[in-house]
Amino acid sequence: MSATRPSTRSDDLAARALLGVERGRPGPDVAVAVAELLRDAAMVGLETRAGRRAATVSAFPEPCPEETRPSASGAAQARLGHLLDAGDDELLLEWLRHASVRNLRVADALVPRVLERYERRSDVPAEALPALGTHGPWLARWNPAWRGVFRHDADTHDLDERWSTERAAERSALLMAVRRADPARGRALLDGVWAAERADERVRLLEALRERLSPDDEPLLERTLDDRAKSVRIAAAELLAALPASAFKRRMNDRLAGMVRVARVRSGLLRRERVTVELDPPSDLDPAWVRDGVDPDPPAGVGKRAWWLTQVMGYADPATLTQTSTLQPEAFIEAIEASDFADACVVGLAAAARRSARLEWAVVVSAFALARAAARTPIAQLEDLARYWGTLPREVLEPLALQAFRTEGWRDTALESTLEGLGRFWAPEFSRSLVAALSALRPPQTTSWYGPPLALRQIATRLHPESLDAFERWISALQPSGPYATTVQKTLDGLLTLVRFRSELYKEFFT
Amino acid sequence: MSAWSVDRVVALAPDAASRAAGQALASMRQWTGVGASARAIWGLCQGSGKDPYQTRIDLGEPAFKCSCPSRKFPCKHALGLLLLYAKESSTFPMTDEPGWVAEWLDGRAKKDERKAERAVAQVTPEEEAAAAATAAKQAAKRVHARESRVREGIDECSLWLSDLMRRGLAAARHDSTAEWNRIAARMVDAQAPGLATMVRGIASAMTSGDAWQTRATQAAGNLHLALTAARALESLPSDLGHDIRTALGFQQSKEDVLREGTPIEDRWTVVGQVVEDDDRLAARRTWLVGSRSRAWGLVLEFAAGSQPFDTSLQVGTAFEGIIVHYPSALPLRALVVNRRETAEARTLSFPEGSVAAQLRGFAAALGRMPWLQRWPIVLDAARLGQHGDRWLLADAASEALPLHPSFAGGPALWRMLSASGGRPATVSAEWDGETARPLAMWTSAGCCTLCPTTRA
Repeated sequence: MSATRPSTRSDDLAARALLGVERGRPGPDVAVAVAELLRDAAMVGLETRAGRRAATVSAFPEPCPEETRPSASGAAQARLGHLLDAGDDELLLEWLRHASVRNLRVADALVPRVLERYERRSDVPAEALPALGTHGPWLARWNPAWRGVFRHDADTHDLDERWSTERAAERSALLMAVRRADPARGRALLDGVWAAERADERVRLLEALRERLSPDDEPLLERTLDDRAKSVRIAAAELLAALPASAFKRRMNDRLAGMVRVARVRSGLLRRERVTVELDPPSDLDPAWVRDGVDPDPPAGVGKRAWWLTQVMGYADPATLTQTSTLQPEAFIEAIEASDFADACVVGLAAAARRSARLEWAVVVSAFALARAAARTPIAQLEDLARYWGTLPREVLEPLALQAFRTEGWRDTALESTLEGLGRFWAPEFSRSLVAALSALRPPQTTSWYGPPLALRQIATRLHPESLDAFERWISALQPSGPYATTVQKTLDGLLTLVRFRSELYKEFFT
Repeated sequence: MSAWSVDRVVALAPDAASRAAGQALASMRQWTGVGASARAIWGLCQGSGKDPYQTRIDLGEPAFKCSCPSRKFPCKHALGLLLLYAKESSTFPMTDEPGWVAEWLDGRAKKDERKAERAVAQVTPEEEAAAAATAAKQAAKRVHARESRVREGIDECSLWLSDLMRRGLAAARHDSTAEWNRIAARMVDAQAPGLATMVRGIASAMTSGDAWQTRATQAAGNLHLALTAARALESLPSDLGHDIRTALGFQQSKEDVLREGTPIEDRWTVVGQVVEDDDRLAARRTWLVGSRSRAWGLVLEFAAGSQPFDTSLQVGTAFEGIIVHYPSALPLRALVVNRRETAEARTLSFPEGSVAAQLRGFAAALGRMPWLQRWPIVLDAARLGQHGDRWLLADAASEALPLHPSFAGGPALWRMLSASGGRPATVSAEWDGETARPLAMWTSAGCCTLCPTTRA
């Protein structure tokens, strides 16, 4: 064999093969030259394959920190694999939560598959994370798409480098981490890139300011009210509404107060003083209101004035109503019940109660909506209203939900939203009471169903596992009849499968 | 007490749907009349039919039999029952086998005996010999006809290859795909599908990115070597002759292999398995290594359509048994003729598990069989390491092998990184001369497969 190294010989051969033998050497020797070329190519090919040297590595990953949680049982891991195959995120979360509670973890080889499901998301519930053990955050070091998952302990090393190179979700996680440690520095970071970002990116980054939001952020937010994109302006208004002492909040309170007309009349034999409240939104919209995030155009079916009232009410502090009218929440609602703008006010109040954390208002608003629903005159924009319920605390929502069941108002969207608001995992006591309320009810009129109400699906998915057996008995006893019986039965069977699966999943961890 | 872990059962499922269905059936309330004996378990499962399905499992192989009409194998009932057994074997009472179980097991045992007799049969009855002689004559005729067509194919292919080199690869790069397909199809017509594969190998090297001309030139050289050797077949040693015939696309019948090959008895560990699935045909490679002989075995299986693979060889298990190699200058491909005492292999010890030693082993193997495509390797303290952004498979001395494209930053890489936790582990892999494709890994937690072992 020639002493030339295969790489140069192979380059030389490849060059000859590329051009073709005819061009390299015209004449009658072509056949010989072709045979030579092919023979050499075969030899060099073999030499190259046989003689390949080991490559080098410049770095090894630091080993994953020791796990302190044991791995969950083989049966539980097999079930997890199945949930990942099926792409069932609801049940995946339930698995992770059980494991987290029991101080167990996902098998090492499966951790990346769980992270893949949560890729580029920064809203993974914190209760799922412990089950990923030390492997989860360790893997995220090498795959930036997974860093958002561990936003709670996002580390801020190489901050400047990463701030300018990483993708949207990771940057917002990074910004939140910085805000937690040093709000002013976070604000400065945001300010530095603000002008260059796209609108959706600005909204996302602005959201990170909610972390340790303070009056110091007001100037930046106030400026943002003049942003060129509507979505950004609305995001800024949302944040300003969460600052009780902001100028924005004061403007909204004044606007609200201007719409509430209070009169005191003495009537009846005893000449008792009664307070009446009139709601009187303006008929023309002040451009200053629009700047503060009030959307001039109402959705279909809603009047302009009602729509403006709802929005201003939503941004203002409900305490303004108490101050203006001297009425306590319950009395205030009673006083406006007959008003044309009652629904608009109540919907706005629900938003305001959430933004200003005024629990007493949330309670009366929910009770009002529920009463209307039970009377079969649900308030307009119920969906909007219900959206805000989700953030009410359990103590408020649980009695509401139970009451809804007991009064058989259980086909309404209001109930579904109430249940939605109770989150993914219901408390054991509430679950027991709910199944008891369900059992006391006469069976639903299955003849008229197209399918069981959404509420049943919610119950099947979210009920505390200890109440699942009782719920299973209740469903099994239902006997659909009428034209849709087969369809309904099929849906019920689906629910039963789900309930049994959850029950077994629970037993895998808690027996 | 059960040698069956849930993982091992789950790995038997032919697809994700069966896995899910099996999970749902792995609960005592789905079953009646469950029982176990030393060799088997069984149970009755009420399905949609009138009579409950009779499900029985031979734990040795394992083998499954169920009276349900499912075409899946194993069916969901068998999976469910075995999963249940893996989870709570103590709830299976040890009793006498009912008739429907015992009959099936005895039938299987007899069949095995017959198979074993055939496999090692030394004397054939005379009348059988006579019939065999006639059949052999007809077969010889067919073989003769095929050989002459293959010879024509070889000549045509040589001509085409010379022409390719005359014109140059740069010019040929402008040829349409149809032109490449035409010559490949000609080789299939000439009953030399192996040549068609090599022609396609050149075609795909032509579009393989950087330094494509080097790869294409070497692929052309490889084809040239096969063509030259095929013409000199008579003068080559018979083992190498078999390899060349295999490279051309001839297949050896199992009967011939069993008759001619030397059986090796050993404790065989299944160290890796990989399924390559294209729409119509899936191929599965299973790598075995003998713990006493240190011999390798490669079991090749094919499944058409949506047909599942046989489930008897599972990565991370070992069995006592006999394999027979296909004749070759480098015996790798093999048939398993006898298998017993299957158990989990929670560790894998392997001498010479360094990158340097494995590369030397590959070079020696290539010297014996130049068309060798993949070579099994085991690294005993392997870790994933990085060079720039690229991940490589490195040994204790930090010498490394580039990873197969299927490990380029995808789920396979993350699975491996996570299962190892960045700590050294024993890793089995296929080495193709350019990249290593990890197959399985042994850590303190046992064995973990690293590439697809069932059909998608």
